[in-house]
Amino acid sequence: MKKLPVVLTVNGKEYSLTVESNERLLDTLRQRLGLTGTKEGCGVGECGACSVILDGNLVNSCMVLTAQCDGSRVETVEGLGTAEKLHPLQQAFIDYNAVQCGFCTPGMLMAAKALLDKNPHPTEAEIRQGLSGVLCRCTGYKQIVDAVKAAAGEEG
Amino acid sequence: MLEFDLFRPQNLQEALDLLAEYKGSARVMAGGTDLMIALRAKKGMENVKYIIDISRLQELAYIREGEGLEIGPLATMTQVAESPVVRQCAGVLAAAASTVGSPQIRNRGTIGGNVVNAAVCADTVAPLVALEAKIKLERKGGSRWLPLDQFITGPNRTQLAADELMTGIVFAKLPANAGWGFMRLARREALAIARMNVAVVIKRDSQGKVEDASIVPGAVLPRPGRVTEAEKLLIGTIPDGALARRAGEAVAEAMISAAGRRWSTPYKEPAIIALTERAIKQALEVEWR
Amino acid sequence: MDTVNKPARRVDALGKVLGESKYGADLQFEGMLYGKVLRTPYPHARILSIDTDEAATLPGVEAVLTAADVPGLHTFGTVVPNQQVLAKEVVRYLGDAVAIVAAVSPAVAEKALDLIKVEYEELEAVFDPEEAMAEGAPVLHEDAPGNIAAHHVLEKGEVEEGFAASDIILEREYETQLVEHAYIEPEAAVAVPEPGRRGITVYGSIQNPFSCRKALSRMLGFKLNEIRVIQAFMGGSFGGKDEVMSAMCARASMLALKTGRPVKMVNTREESLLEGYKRHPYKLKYKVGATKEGKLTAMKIYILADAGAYTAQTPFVTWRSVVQATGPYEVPHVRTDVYGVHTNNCYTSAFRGFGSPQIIFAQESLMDELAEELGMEPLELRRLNGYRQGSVTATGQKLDEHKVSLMEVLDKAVEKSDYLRKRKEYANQQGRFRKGIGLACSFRGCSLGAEGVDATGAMVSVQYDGSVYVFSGLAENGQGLQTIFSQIAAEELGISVERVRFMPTDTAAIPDGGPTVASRSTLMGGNAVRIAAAKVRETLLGAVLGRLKASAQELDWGNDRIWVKDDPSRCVSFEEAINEACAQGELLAALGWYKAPKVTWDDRHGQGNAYFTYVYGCQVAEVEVDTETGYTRVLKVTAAHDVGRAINPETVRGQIYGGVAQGIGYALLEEVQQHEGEIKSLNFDEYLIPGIMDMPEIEAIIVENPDSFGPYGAKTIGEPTLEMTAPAIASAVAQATGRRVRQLPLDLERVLLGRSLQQDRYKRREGGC
Repeated sequence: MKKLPVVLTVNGKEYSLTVESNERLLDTLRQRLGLTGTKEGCGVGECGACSVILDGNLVNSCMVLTAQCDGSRVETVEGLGTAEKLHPLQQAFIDYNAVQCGFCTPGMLMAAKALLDKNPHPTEAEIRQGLSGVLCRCTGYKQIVDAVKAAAGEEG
Repeated sequence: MLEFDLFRPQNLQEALDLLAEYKGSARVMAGGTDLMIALRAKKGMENVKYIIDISRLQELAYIREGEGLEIGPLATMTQVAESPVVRQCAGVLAAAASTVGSPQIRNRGTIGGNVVNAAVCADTVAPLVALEAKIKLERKGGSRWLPLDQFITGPNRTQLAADELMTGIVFAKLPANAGWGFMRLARREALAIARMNVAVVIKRDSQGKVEDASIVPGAVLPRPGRVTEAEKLLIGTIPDGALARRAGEAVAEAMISAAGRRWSTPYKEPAIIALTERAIKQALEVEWR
Repeated sequence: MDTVNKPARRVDALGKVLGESKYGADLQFEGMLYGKVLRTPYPHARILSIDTDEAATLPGVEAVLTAADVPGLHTFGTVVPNQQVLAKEVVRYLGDAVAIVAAVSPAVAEKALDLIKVEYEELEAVFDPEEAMAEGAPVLHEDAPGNIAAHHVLEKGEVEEGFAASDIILEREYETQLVEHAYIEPEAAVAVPEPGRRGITVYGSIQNPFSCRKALSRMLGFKLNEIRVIQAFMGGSFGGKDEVMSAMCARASMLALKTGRPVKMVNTREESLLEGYKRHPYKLKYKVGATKEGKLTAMKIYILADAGAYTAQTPFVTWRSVVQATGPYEVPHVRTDVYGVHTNNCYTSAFRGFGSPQIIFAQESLMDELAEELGMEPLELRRLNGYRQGSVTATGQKLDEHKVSLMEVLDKAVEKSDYLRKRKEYANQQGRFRKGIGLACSFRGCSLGAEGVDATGAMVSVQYDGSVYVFSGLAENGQGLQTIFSQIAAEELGISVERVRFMPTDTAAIPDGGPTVASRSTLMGGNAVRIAAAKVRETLLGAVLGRLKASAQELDWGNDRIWVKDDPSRCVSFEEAINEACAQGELLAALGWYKAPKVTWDDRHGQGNAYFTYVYGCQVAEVEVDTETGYTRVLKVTAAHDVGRAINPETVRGQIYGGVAQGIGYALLEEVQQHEGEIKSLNFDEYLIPGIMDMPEIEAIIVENPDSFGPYGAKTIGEPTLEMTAPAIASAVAQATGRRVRQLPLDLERVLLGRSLQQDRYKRREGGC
């Protein structure tokens, strides 16, 4: 299989990689770069656990070939914040009990960030629309919506 | 995941050269939202050895207003849904694009992919047919135009030749006196393929009577097309609810006569009547100027 | 109380929001290989031969194993060990494994699978439980004649006498569907051989580490102390990562022991849906008799559950059903038969609810139908017959050792939801969008009941600097166990919860305290933590008596201090108390063990004190139905649950919202399509769970009637929250459409047409949507 050179900027850090033709962005992040915060839940773009922000757009990284991302910017959950300085969304998720098993949490956080980046003061309906591509089986979504509302309020 | 060699042509010509060379053993990838699933499942990929990535061909990523509207195949669902000119002049298409999948899918899924994949439930197809869209097909050394409803010949089947690339979609802008409706039925609110949808465009004359109507159901006929028997019922009238319903019944009859009675017919028959009636109602509520 | 009954932040939230918490698939080890499974293409077949030579010599392949290579026994199972880790001789469902491969990458492992040649002789298969019970059906297990995996009987009074005394008799049949846990994290495990001595350590998404260890011991032929199971963070389980994980861990372990290298196995979503067990589909026949005033006189219940290919937890799931099938109603005469029957379908086992959602759908729908026949408001029928203090259940148990709060949860849910007014308002609607409102209630026995031994342990260990470890044999599923146990330990020790560190569940660290099931964690595990922490506190108090010049009864503790009640200026800090105790050579750790109070069961007649305590719940659902397309939107769910005491009200609310979401899925969306043993819905595009835009407004009402047994009075919340949402929705839909549907889910076709069309789709072999 043909390999291709790719320059990827992930969470602000530049990587020069050589990847397989059929390598998914999800696998590059998790295996090559050791960024296991982005998860695989279904492999077909239905659950959103693999969501990342690619050149400013929320995408399912299981459905993107890394080779298509030469020169692109990727944001993952690891780039949101640190334990010392959490992103307001991360703090809100903790404060509003929006985390149960936590497997959808990275996807939810990235979807929420992508939403707030474009729409800093969303209505509840817009929050639900923005997060509609991430499935959660534990929380019933309510505390997640509350957390995003709170974080949006904070940032304003 | 299938093993393949990925090519990333720098321009349209290179892409066409690659297609000419590899033809049936190559597939074209844009956003990947359909193709990645097929590659992972290795379904229908028996002879595929090459993937031609066209996602960075800027010359195919456009939404242009000219005489009509011209949309390049790489326009994403998000771009189509949010484009001011599409919303203004072809609102039915913007509405349909906004219902696809999820934000993640809409940010990658392209209108070209939606059309060329030709899934029965493809959301942009019914509106494009209602808009009488034509599509451009190019190959190394030539190009042709086809009306969309001739391009798609059946579920996941089109007239696209193995060495051809779809490079443009054009249609006339809707006039100010045109109303449109788009109804979609799925099993849940988001991340759900349409079980059926209906696109309706209605033009009225100065007295408010229907001058022209396009009624295009999706996921209901063997190939997408206008249901003229339903459209005829509305011409020259100021439709009321009962007439809209009869038009819906005509669509249901067209469905059964084209596709026969299938496992899903007991459900689809009543549902398509209701959806059509509502899409017509939606189209009539737009102000006549 | 300082920490308990307060909304403390979850102790595991930070790692999860940072994306740093490690789940099974995230774990990496030096030299790690990847394992893959070859499964059978036939639901019932004899294996004639397996040729692994070509696969074994593929470059990058380090091991190929079959049943012949299993070091111990190739079967396992808690009740009847007839489940196969690798099929020997016969495959019984399409998820059965025939061979496993370890290779340097998942891609190479998959290539190797294609090179394994297996010859099968297809056997006659059976896919319907009724057919499976009939004369001449293929028998799946020699020790289960008639393919009966379980049969429970309950007899109270004389059921024919009861019917004779009734003014009205109703007979109804209900049906519930095959559903899947659909945890967002697919199953994952890594097995690491122990260097230098016989042993294996297994990490992964393992709901019940001790059950897994026991199964591994049997399959690997290892002693229990040679196997260490450590739970990684788990992306949801809901009862679903038990047997399927025992199988996965055993396979990974076998490959690891063979190659001498760590082996990781991760299921794709398709593999998870194909192999993993599901909730039992039930066919339920109810016959109920009542007086014309609405007093129930008799119930005769016949339930048929599809157990699928292997026994797993079927005997226990169907037992809970036999205990609770009448619902929380006083019925003097009852006869219940519950059968679990083997078929060549996917096997069925534990799933949140564990035999309750199916019966509650039937019993609550039945109550509504009976009320309608009698011209009564459904709520009144519940009020007339529902349990009160001192009521006697169908198993002959008198409910008096706890507060029987059925009426209270009914009243609160009904009031908050404005049920009565809306029920009247929606009674006569015009238009194509029609609303409806319905209620359902339940009672639920807490913990394992008479299923078996019910005891659990915890260890609390206070360190010299005032930081504290808590260990438990019960595991964090995502429900908040780590946080609850930390809160309880902190409360008992009188310290801030920030000092407490809950350790990952590790079978080497703590005695076997049973599985994390039956919503028993807070009730049983919480008590164990409380006991352990209390022991350490007593040691600390004893150590400072001299310094504070007081007797133990005169002391109080909290806010990281210990002080004399009548003279708070005489006090010591937590750290000072630790120093005193250590200087005296005292032990500042303790093991707490809690055994459940006694229960009784006579299985000939299904009588006894089945559970030592119960909880009660009521949910009211309001819907809007598009009567032209059958599309149902849930507008609001009001859920009132008696939890005894909410150790953490925020996590209790989280359980209510999450449970209602699963209940909505059960009611409207979820159905694993299975035709002739073949699962057709293999990913989330076909198996639909509720998304964020499908959710209604949810009003959670926490009712607290402290239980005498639970820690701080706390009982149970995990399972009650999902078990009654579906009948509440079904009742609301029935009001909106004027038609009662007796099958789940209430999808578009069932609501519009009254029946499903899916089986037509497979019978006619037609595609499309």
